[in-house]
Amino acid sequence: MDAVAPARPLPARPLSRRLYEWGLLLGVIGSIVGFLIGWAIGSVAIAYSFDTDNSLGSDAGILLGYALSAVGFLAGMGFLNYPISRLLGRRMPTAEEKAYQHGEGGGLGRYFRLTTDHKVIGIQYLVMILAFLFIGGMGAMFIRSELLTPTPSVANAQSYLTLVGLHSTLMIFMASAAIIGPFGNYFVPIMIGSRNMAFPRLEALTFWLLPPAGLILLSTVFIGGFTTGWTGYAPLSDQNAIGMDSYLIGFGLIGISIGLSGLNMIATILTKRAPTLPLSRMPIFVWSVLVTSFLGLLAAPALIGAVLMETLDRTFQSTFYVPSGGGSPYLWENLFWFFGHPEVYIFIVPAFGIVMELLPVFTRRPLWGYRVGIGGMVGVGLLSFAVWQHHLFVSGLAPSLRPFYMFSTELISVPTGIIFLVALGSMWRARVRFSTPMLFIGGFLFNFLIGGFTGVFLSDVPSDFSLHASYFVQAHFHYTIMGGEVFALMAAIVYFLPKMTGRSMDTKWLKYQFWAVFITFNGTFISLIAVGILGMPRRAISYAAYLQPLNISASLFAFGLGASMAWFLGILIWKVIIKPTPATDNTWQSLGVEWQLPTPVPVFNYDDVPTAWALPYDYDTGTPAAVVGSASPAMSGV
Amino acid sequence: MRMRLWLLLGSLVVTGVLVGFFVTRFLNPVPPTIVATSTSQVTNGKPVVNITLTTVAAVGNDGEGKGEHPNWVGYLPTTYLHVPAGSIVHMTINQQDGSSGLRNPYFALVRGTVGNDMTVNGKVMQAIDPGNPGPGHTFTIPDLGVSVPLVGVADDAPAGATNVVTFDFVVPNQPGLYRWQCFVPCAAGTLYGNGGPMQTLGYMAGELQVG
Amino acid sequence: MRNRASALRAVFVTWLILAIAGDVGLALSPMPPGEASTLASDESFTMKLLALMAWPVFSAVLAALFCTFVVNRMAPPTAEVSAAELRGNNRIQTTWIAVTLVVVLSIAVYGTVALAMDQPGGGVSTVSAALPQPADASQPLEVQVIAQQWWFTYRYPTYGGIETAQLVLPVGQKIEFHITSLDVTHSFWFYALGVKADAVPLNDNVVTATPTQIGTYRVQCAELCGLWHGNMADSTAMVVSTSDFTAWVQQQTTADAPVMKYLEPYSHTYLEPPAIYGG
Repeated sequence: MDAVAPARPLPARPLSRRLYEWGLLLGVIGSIVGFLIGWAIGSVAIAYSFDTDNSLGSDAGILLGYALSAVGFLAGMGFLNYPISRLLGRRMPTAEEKAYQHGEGGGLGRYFRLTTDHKVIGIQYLVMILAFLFIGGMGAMFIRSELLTPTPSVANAQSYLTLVGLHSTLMIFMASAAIIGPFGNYFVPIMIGSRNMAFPRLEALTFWLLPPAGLILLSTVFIGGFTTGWTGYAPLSDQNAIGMDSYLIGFGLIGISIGLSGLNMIATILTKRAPTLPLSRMPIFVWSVLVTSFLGLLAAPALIGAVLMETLDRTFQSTFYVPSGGGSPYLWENLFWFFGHPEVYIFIVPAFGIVMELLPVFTRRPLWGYRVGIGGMVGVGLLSFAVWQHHLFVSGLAPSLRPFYMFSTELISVPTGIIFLVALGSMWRARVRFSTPMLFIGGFLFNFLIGGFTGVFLSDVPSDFSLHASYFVQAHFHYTIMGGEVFALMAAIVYFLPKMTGRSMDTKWLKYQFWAVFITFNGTFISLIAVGILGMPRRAISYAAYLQPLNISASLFAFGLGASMAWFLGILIWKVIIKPTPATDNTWQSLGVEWQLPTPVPVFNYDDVPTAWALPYDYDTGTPAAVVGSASPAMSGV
Repeated sequence: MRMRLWLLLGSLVVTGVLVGFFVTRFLNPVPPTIVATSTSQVTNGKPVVNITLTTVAAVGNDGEGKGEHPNWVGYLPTTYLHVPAGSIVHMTINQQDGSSGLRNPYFALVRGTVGNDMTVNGKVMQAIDPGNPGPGHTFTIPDLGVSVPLVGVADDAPAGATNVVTFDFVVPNQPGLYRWQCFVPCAAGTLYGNGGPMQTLGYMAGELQVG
Repeated sequence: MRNRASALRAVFVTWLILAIAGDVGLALSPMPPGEASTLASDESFTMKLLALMAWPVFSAVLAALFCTFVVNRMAPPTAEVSAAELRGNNRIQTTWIAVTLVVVLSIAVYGTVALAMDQPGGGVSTVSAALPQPADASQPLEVQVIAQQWWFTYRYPTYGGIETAQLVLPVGQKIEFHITSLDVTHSFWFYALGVKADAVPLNDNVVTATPTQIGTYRVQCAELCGLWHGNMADSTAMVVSTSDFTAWVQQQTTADAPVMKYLEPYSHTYLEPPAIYGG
């Protein structure tokens, strides 16, 4: 084999490039081929000797099939081309090929193939996450329809559990990247004056892991579903049929995505900043992404390990989680929540970042308490690794552990409270401009306040005995994740869309939409807080008859909530795709460096590294975040 | 713009079709149901109705899943039962499956039937020996307090060997939906014998519709 | 336009109204899980105390938000406030952190003390136990909750180890629940008594409570345990008078007679049969 291919003239459209153009198709073919190979190996070679589940297929076959289908998908997308050609010592990609892969020249096609431009990836994330959130939301509608009556009606006991599992797991998958995926990827390099991410191919990988993860999870519907909910408690998960394998592989892929995304973001923020931008002047949203990335990088491996042990339990009959085989259900509970609790801060810390980043734009004043705000987020991040056993207060673990976890959990309300201090300080006696994003930020502050205070009751052991695993818990985390993160997400979409697409979705209808979603959201989850206080356990399809009026109230509000969310999506699609409304370059008169760039943002963001960095919140003096050199129009995409 | 509108409409239609498919095929498929056959008998002013079920070690292609899991244990013809409210149900269960042993020996006790007993091959019993030969399954409706262990056939019995178990139980006067299940960990190859058919409607789990 | 003092006053007045109205309402309203047992009373008390402490803090933030959005709106007060003050204020930040820290610490200290005094619940694993002697009022009555997919059964070791499908407890007697599972993780939730404890195979989870009110209650499973999790509930659990309890035990002893010789010897956990996989 020749180590170095002789330099020869390239054809105008090399094969590799033509294959790239069909990346998605090749990915689908690759995933099918991968599944068949894995399924064959798993079923034939392993199933006869180890596997015990005599259901539709063998666990080993399904697990290997799913894993290899994800690998096949990524290979088809072209993720292996570069590493393999490097390993074999082939020629480096030409400048033209690199530029093509980076999405230069524009066109819709770059959104459907492996593209290393962080702005393309941001848009890909946004579309993918909205699509999956839509599916998850439909699941919520079905759940609420079912709970209109105290006995099974719309679903039966079996499909209801799968429905609950699909809704929750899909939402958790998407929520872990809902803000950091679209806006972190799109704006972090811009906000720190970089031309791209530290590892652009890795960045593309973190996105392209998402569709296989989501689709593999959804495919459980065709192979029988799973009954464990999103927490996947063992040994019930050991007992489940092959539908469980979708959950395991899906969660494993998401874990890899979270971890790699964290790694990439940390490397980018720490090494790719403009030389004159110190950490102490970084936009606070970038700080929130940095904190989140550390959480993801440190927490996701615990999940991946836990999932791996579960797959071994299911295929090779290891007994990590089987008590009668020497394992312990507590092992899963500890590993899962060691990941699971930082995970919820992976959801919410970027939302803190969005809120603090956007507030000054609408108060026209500097951010009050920039440093203490960063301290709050870092504090939340540090403490989040020391609280996980508050999920296990009633689990029967040693009672002597409880006071510590009670204390650490309550302590986390101090750094969280700082976020409210910063928000209040920034708005104090300001003439707040109630543009649509600001409405959503107001909604965030109200909802998250309720979410935080319901958490106090759950953190205290004696009161947790009554509330644990009830709808009170469910309402609590919907207040923080939906009322918090999703409201911040909607604020961010309305705020950043003009820069990302050159089109604005802000209309007066959006303000009505905000009030609709705000009122129906609170109606739904206040009803569910009440239901939980009265003793309704989570995930139960049948409930005591006296709880029906409150459940009907929750369901009706939830249908309104679903309609309002669809309304938001409708406005988004209408104003961006069907009847585009052009936006100005600096829609909100922001001082942020991202708004100094032309729309659409040039492919490599900056011709010259921005200089003279200041905090991007000096609205009293009007100093922009940085001085941006002129970007040449020839470089711009679309 | 016209094309984009068509695209939107198309995607809405596709979404609608997918949702419809999900609801009808997955969420709550309408299963075949056994309706109790009425008799002329009346006891204590309550009508007596008959239901006959058969337990088999493997449902073959006749089970609820129509050949989806032919090697799973199950009740035939189905586990969806429908009885009139306020009636006495005269159950006949043909136990053709072998014994699996109980996780909790308490379920060897006959509970909640008329007279707290059952008839096995013509012999009245109040409990069975969980070890010899032991129950193959139980027929248990927890919310009605009904639980009947079904003696398994001997391992060396010829094919088609049957233990005929009969018992009567009273259902409430109000309409309602009750679950029923087996309490013998009989799902071979699954953890604690409680996976697969034990957690799938139509095999070892069912619904009793009263009224 | 409002100056600094009147802006603060608006927040303070709003807060005072909210806090007083809310706390009075909370003090008067019943708290879950009620007063049906000593443990439940303790939990209700904790819940009320937490609510009374949390509400003023909650309403302070709420009042500040409300006044910021509605009452205290004005143009950037550049003349009145220095550029430095617009960017933060160490004194306010330190005070805020100190105040929240004190609130949190007091809640945590209270919770720890309450835990140390009551010890509600706790995982104490023991290998096996001989049948305890029949209880007198001074000794707690041991009741074992056996969770299995998908029903709770109960054993009364002091009454010959009888097993029942219905939970009946004597009023005024201290009950020591021993909760275990035969298969996957369940959670035993007796809402009215304030008892919730996970049932984990090969683990003996102990909770004590003294029921104080005669009545019929609902027990249910609170940890997702498979297909019939939502139906693993029983609305016929009862707390009865001592004499009724004795009569009930007699009746159950008779009913259990045919199966008594087959029941496993009483133990705090039950070992699995040799085969992990059924069939």
